[in-house]
Amino acid sequence: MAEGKVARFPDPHEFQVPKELDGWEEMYPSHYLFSKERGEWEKKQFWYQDKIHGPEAMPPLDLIFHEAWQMSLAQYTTRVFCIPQAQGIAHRMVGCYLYVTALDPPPQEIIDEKAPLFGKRAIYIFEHYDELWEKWLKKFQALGDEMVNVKIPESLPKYVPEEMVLPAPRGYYVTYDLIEAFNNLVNQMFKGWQYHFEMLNLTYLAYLMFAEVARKLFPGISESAIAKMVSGADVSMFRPEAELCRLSRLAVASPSVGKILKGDAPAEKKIAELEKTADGKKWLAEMEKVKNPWFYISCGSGWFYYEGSWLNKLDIPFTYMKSYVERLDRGETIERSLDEISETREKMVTEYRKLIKSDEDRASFEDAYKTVRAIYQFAEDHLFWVEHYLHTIWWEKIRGIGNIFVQQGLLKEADDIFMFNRFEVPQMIEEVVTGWALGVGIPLRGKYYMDKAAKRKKILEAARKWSPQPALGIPPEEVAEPFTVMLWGITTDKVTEWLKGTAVVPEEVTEIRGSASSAGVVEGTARVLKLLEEIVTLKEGEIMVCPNCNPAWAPVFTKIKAAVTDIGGLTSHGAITCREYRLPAVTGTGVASSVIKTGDTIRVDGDTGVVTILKRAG
Amino acid sequence: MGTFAWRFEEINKDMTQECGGKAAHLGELTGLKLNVPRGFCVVASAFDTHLKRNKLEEPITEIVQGLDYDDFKALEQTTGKIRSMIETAEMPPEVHEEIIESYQNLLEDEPEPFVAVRSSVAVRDSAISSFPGMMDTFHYLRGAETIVANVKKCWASVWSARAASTRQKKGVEHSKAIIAPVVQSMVNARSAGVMFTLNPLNGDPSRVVIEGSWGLGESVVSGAVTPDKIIVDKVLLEVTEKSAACKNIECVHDIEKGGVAHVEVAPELQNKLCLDEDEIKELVQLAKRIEEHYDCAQDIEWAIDRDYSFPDNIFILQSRAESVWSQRKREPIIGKKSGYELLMEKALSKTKVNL
Repeated sequence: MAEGKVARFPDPHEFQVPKELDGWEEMYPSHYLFSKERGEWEKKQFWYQDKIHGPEAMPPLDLIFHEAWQMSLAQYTTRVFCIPQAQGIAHRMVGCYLYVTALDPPPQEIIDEKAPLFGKRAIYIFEHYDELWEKWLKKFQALGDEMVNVKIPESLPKYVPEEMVLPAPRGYYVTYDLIEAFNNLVNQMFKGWQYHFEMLNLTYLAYLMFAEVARKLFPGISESAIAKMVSGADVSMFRPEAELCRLSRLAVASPSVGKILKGDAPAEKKIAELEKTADGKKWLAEMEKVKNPWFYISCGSGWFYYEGSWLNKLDIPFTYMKSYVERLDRGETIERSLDEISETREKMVTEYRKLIKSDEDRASFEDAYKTVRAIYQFAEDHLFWVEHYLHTIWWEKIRGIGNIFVQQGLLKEADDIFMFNRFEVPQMIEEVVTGWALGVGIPLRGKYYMDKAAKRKKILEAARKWSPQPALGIPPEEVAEPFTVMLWGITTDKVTEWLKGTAVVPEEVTEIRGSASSAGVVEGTARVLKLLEEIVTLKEGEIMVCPNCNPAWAPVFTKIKAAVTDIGGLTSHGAITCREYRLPAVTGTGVASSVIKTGDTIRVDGDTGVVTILKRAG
Repeated sequence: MGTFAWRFEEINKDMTQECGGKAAHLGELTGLKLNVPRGFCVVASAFDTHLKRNKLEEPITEIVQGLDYDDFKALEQTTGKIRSMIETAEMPPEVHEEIIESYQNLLEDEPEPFVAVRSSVAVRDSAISSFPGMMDTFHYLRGAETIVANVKKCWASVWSARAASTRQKKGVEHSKAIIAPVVQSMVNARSAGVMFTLNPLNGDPSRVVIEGSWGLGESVVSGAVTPDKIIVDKVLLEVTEKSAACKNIECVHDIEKGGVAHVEVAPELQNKLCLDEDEIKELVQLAKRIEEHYDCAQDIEWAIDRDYSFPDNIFILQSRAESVWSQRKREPIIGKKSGYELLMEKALSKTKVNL
């Protein structure tokens, strides 16, 4: 930096969040807060807001996923695969937002110790990926089944049913059941997140390795070209959409079903209608088979309880199927052609390879490519199973506990349970079941919890309105942690941009930058969608601006002209989808959905990653 | 095939000794069915005949012996004498006749088209087949006698002071200079420029780098304006970088005086990119084809005609081996390493974040 000054962001210990957020600290576990005892260490780190996993203010119970990944990701890096230069990623909460820091490499003797371990363990995984993936999927589905089978009583019975007492007493009852149920759900979630990183760290490392090889040979190659070469076609995240295509074809094959699906009634009514005919029943049975697991896809990122899934927002898949049936009627093809996608990729890799002048380089490129392709599918497949499938099951179960809290007068709404962190919920369960056990006429601290829930919702609301500081502490000189580079793209440019400060009035911004994720330039009217339900407002030919999007949004892509997202890099599913539909896209802008307003005229330049606001609405 | 005037269709890349480098490659490109403006080459023997018939060889040799290459002003004056000898001497009638006939037959529907006369050079018994920017090019010429006069001017440009001193510096004997002027139908350029089939800044073989400006390519080649710059990925055909420069001047046809005039670009166009998306894609496809044909990185001149519609408006004016990277030895950048070795390297490395 100029004048020899060390560039830095506010000291995390001195940084003050706005007054309206007062009391935010009590929502999160103590080890998630900046603290005096750890002050010296904390001040030396570079903390940046994790916009990928925690783009929004964090509901206390949803922090469980982050608690789980903090330990699991780091564990695999430092103690399981022993990536020599890398250590873990530590977390802190600041004013309801998640901040993370990639830790400095360990001392040289540890690096030397880890190197041979890494060589042996990592390479084994690459060589056995296919069989390991099969095992992984089996055990993950078993874990999902286990979670589905966790029994949450619909209500606390007046008396324990007779069959549980006579002739062979069960020996333990509802008070224990509910405690155990929550504990199991927590444990299963932690286990799922352990599995999440079983091969992911190595996948990212392989990607970065290949990207470096590609950049050495082709200094100007774009990140999106590298992503295109590496990414697969037949990945789990696209499966839900593929299943809707299949169901739509089935519906067209039996016209009475197709006709109902094309109607304008809500999903619930359509289902009732279908129940009335034999064909309809057959089709519904087929849909039921598909639901588990493919309707467990989140309508958002999979990180927040309020996003919902196809499972509890059936109108979403039904809207898609309506448009698919209509398109089939017009003789259009609705499916992604997996063969075509794979062929295009192969052709592309061959063309780049042909451009390499030296035989040695060509051989190295080839082998580097083979190495990354051997494992990369994990990056694309795990996402559905963990962030979508398992999280969705979890939220449904937790809502069941929330219902009991409402019945017992502890909370006003079932979803208020998400206002309490995972260490607080057991206390609430204990109070509820104890009160029930004590007999009738036992008072509970309902007001205490309801007030707390109300207060926390207010704090979260205030946090949502606040633009959090992008980073705190001293920026590093070097990063060795694979996720930091790949997921968050912590680069010189990014840190410099943050250092320039983001304290601007949104209305005055005319240009936003992000990743140039899908090529092309278009101008048009913006439609800002904060939640997937809002897609009903989307008009043909508009430019979609949203916090993030996943393949659950895929059918939208036939309607829009371009897409802009707040989060997500080139390998994000939104970016992949845009490239497949040949729509210009700029992703990972950080701010687009708050700066751009519906009706603004904008230009999306997918070649350079710039979004320009040409004319403000009204 | 004529004796002194060869049509591009009759020429290929191996004919540099007869046609000079530029014409040889224009012939080669024409053979590839690329959109090269129609033209013909007044082959080297025509100039030789001109010198012999007019008995100019001896007097030139005499003048040359007294040249002082360090005194540029004197050099200009002395070589000026040689140039005027060449230009004023009468062109041998058989050469004259063939040029006129070729000119009049150049285009089917136009007996008196606008043409450019461009130099095409080589060195006898040598692989050198270009002296970039050394000889003159004349634009927007029309009429048989004008063409003949400009062919002579082009011959004479072999004795421009800078060409003579370049030969002297490079140790090339003056008598070995080959000049074979090209007469080529004029592209009425809306936009023109140069493109490379690699990034000349870092040698990246996966890029096509296009530079262009409004009007004729002269303004780009001569550095009179900062051109627009567009970098395209050859494989994906995606633009990875583009910057529209402020192009305030363009070279266009001077309708009143003839030839070329430098004029001010309309203000609304100055900062506008001089190529549209389709044109960029088409240029890149052409660049790829030419590079593949030569199996060597190329430096290509192109122009977009105002009067035709896409894609017939896109013309290739010249192609030659890129002069820096393509001449280097093909040293490996990474060397032979296995995927696992590369993975281990990555696991042991850190990414620098510079602040």
